Amino acid sequence: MDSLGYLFAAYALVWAGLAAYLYYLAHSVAAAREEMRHLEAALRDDQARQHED
Amino acid sequence: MAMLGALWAIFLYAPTERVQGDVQRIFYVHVPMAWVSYLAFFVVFVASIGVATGRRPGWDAVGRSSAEVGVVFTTLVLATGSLWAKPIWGTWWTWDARLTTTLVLWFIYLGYLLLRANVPDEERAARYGAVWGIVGFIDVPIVHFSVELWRTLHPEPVVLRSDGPALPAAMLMTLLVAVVAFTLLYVLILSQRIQLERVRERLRLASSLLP
Repeated sequence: MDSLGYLFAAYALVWAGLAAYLYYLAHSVAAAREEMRHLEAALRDDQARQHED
Repeated sequence: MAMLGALWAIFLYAPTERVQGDVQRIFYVHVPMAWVSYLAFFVVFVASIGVATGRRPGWDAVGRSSAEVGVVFTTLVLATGSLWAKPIWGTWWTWDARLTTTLVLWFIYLGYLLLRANVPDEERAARYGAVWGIVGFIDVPIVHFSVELWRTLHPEPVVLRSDGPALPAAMLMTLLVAVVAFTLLYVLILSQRIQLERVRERLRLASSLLP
């Protein structure tokens, strides 16, 4: 690998690494929000049941 | 925008270094990412003091998030350093003081993240993490001054020197633009990571309310 090959590898690694981490973060935030929506719905159902009782 | 400006400066504005050639351009991402790692671990240090003095949970989320972002950047610093070292030094790795103390830094904060992930009680995990975040920061100045404290292969500082920067103006300007771009990227990533921590905190609270 010549000098340009190492340069290309370094920049590719930096952008691939940062893109993968940003993707992981965005995916985790979306998954946690989805779980939060389910939990809030379950909490509302639970409160409604308590009202009926 | 700042990152596009930095890439333009790195590949089109900065002159090619006479001895090392194009591979020297790795310097323009390696150094800013090292700076961001120091900054990230400094934020962990400040947040840990906040947690230790009883200001939870906001500080804890900041510290935990910044440690993770710092580990990501330190990993990339080590990797880009190796990719520069191979053509210049003829080896991927050497047990040089700067490289070794940086590897120790990486292990310290990886340990911090493992500790946070493996202590189930959040209150206790935050307290242990705060102690780790304060003590672990001791390695940051050791990494920075390692090239002055020991005889090393690693190049000496070219910007923060007592006799002023030892870089041509175009290279210095490119480096400064890259430092600004990576610092802004750190702020953006950190805000995303803190957001995740806050949603998880709300999830824990909501789960405890369910029968």
